[in-house]
Amino acid sequence: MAGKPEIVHETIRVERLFKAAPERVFAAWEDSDARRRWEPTPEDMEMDYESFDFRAGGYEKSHLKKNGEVIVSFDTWFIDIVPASRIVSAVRVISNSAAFSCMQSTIDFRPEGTGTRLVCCEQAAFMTGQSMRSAHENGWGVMLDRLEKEVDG
Amino acid sequence: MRPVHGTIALERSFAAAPERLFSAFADPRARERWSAPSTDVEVRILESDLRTGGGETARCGPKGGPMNWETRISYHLVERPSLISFTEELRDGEQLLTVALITFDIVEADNGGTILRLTDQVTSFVGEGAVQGHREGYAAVLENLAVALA
Repeated sequence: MAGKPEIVHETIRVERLFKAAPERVFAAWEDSDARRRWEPTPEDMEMDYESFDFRAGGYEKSHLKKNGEVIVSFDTWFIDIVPASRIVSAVRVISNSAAFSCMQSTIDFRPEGTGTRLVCCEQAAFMTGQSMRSAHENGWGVMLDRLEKEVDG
Repeated sequence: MRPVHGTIALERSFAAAPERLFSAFADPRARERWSAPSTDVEVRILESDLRTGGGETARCGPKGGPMNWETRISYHLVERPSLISFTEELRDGEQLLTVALITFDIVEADNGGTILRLTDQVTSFVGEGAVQGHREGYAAVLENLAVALA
């Protein structure tokens, strides 16, 4: 086991205030067409969803592809979903047939005025021993930008 | 109630080799004994499929009681004998109490024994007390494991 990297654990928090009400923000997850629009995909790549299964106990598999070739695959389990209030999920990220990170995230919808404060917390384990904190923080930022465009116009 | 997040990082050395530690995890009857955080608590593993992508269900509660607590595990990554990573959901009836991303990072020590780095990244939906419960629970579990491997 010489050279086995020490797993790195991180907690990443981001939040954003939306003009839209919690029901409207939540609807952006419920509607699979909406998710295809706003869920972030890096430039010149495409997200291939094998299925949508947005419900408590649901499981989804998706792949990020570049020129038709799979770069990374995601296994997502929805652990708890409370409409307009909370989404709890676990994700395993696989690249080159090796798992390189495992995460769980809690998205908390908090009514604020007529809008929504979305508080996202991701707990991650990076198996390769390299922290992906800044990439993940950046990913959440892009996601929230796109979600804002989707629900606030 | 707002979710509360915590990270519990524990490290412990064992004289036993990694393979023995992994076997103690893999054996449901053995794990029922060492994973009970106190002698008043009973753990019953109903089904276990310890492999990458496998799952597990268990019930626990005060000894002799109705075993109201249910744990559901999704194994993210299992590499014998060096790594076990999973998400554990804990419910009391319908109420979700905690969700935890738990990593057993099992490293062979220079003396042939084992260094276990146990990290519990927990989210509680029932307040800070359940995070403290995980902290005390896993400290006790590692004590039990040391006894089981001695």
